[in-house]
Amino acid sequence: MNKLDRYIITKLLFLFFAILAFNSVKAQEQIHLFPDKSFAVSGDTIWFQIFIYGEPQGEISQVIHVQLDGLENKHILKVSVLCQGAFGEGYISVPDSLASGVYKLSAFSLQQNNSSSAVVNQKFIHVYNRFNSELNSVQSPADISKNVYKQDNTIEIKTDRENYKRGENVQVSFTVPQTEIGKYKKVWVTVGISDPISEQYLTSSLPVQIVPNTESTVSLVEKDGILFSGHLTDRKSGEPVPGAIVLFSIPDSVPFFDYCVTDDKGLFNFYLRNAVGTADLILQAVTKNQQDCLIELNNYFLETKDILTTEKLLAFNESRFVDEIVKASYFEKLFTGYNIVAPDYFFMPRQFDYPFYGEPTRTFDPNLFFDLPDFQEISREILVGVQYRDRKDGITIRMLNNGNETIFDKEPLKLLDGIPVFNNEKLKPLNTEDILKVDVVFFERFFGDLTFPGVLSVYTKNRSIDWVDSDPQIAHFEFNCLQPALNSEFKNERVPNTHIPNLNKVLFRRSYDVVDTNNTFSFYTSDLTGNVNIRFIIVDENNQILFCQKLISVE
Amino acid sequence: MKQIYKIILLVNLVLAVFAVNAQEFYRSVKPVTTEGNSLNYKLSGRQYYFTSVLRGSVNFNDLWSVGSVILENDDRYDSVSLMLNIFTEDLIWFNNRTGSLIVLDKYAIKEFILDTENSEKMLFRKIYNDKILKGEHYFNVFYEGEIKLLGWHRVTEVSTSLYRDFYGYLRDKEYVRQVNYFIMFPNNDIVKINGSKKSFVNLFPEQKKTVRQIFRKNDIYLVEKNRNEILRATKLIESEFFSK
Repeated sequence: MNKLDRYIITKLLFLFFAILAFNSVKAQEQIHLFPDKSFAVSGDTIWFQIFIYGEPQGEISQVIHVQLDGLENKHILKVSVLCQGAFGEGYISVPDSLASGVYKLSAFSLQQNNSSSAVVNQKFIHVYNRFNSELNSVQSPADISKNVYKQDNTIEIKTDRENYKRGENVQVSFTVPQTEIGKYKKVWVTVGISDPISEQYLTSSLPVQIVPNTESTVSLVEKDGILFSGHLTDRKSGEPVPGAIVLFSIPDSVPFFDYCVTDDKGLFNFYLRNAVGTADLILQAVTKNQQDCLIELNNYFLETKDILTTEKLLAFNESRFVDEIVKASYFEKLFTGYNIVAPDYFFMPRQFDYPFYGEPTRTFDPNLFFDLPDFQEISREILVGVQYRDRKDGITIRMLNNGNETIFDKEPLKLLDGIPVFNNEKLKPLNTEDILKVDVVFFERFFGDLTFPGVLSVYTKNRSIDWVDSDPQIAHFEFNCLQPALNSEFKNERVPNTHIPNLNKVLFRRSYDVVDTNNTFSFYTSDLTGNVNIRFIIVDENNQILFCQKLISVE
Repeated sequence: MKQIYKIILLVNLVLAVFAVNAQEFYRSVKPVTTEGNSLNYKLSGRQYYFTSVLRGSVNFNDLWSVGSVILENDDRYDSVSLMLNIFTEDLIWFNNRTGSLIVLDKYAIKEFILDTENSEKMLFRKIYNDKILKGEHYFNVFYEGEIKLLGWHRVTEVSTSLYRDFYGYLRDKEYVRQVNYFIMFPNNDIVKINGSKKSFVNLFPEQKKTVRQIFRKNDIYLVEKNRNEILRATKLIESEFFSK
């Protein structure tokens, strides 16, 4: 082999591996995020739109996680949005205590989070703390490899005037050439007060390499739910506990139950399907030697590589804008709240007609009987087939086995509002006033590889889970599942005969699946003055992101 | 010496207390492993206890079939050992990881597939009907198009001449297996057919002549009521009256 041959072979190999690398990157999902504004005052809600695309033959994720981070990668919060096909929408409530500065918004899928070559398109948001109106400088991302959307010159935006007064109606029309009709997959129109400092961030994004999550062991495309994982360790030694059964329950009228056996690293995974809102996750570990274990959830935030930042001094007009917007928000908060969804909202559709322990053999309603002071009396008088013994060495419960017409020689699975109970003392104080109903199953039940010698499920009237937090063997986590879906469309209206100022920063939001040649919409200006930006973000047939915009002024 | 007894007694007492509180949700001979981990809804059910001494079989398949189970939430389990008891209409799963025989919860099952000995895949679907067979039943889907040909396999106890069972006791009953055929129309109405030509003709009271005609043209006589003939007849009915 001569020198030339070797050179050619080396070049060919290089080309081959370059193509391979290119294809692996290409196969990744691409997720784009479009917030409705480039700035927010702490306590505001940022609405956003999502566009996902991947290889046509591959499955694309339907659950997209959107996270708010500081520039130094400090995680603030995360929401998970269920998308429909290639598009989705959601919202983030900016915490009231967030300090002024530039923050990052990242949209990603679980697939991306586990991938070593995934890239996330980060957006930036200026947050102004509503108790801090004096801002002279901000730490901003350095202007490197910024992905600026291509300007679209085909859509023509027209307004009836260029200058408006406060509370005035604005008529907007936009025309799309006949040749372009049908070429747009989606058009998002947003109208809002223009921030001279951060406006540029709305029409650009910064691709940043993801630091892959090495804790996850499951490869999954989240289609209709959220995967969460955690690890089990010995509380004293901190060593992982393999082969333990982690029981997972969500208390409800029809409780959710699942289990997972920990792997060599003490890891466990659960998938929460169609769960919306904030769930109370109850986790308990069953080990062979009654080991004292610590259950912890894994970090579910996205880690990205650091970006370069630079300090930007604010000009006079920029500082004045911040001052005005912060004062306006302060007044706005006096008149309106900022929680758009109740924090304890949770909904999970029932997958089956019966709980995981199947159709109960019998259901007892203690309220149909005279008042009984404790569970021993209840079991003695009402719960036929349940043997409750309170002896010196503890309380034992045994149940009938209708399968072979005997009595089980082991403790049944006991549930209190759907949460497995291992200490029978927990049931002892319950009286007829506390109990709503008792389900019993007089069969040996199986759930996956687990077996239960009968089931005793007690449902209380108030369904309080306070007792869970006092038990060190039970881990209780509040977990954000899918975000409750709300319609992002908005049109600022004038409220007649009111003295309450209208201080909306966003005046119009709408998404179009189909646009005609001539289209119109209108909105009212708010009591905030300055430039108002009418902005169109377009996803075309080639999955390219385009934008066009028009400025009007409110005096 | 007495002190040793005391210590032993104390240790026994401690162990007894542990035994009371310790709860293992698995059979100690076969502890659970990560092999059973799944993000799907777990297969659930109760212990299978059925024993029979009568002549005949209560099962659709006497040997374990490797099949698939699809749950109501569309979660799917493949390569599971299944047996269908058509006397009690229970689908039994042999969980080889735990060595358990489990009657799978009917409410959780949408359909299942049994791989038969001759490599034929038999699809069974849970169908609710409140007119003919009240409640939910597992129907064998023989044909699925615009209309469906369903079979409901049953085993019934029938009287027979005296014989001695496995234990030497005299018995006068035996299990007899039969299959009832049903046609399911696009509007989900189910009509029983006994497999005769007349039962097909009666499905269309206003077009009896047409049905007879197409059967005659296609040499369908339904004399022996065999499944292939019934299947052909169903397909012809579909193409004549229900094809789009």
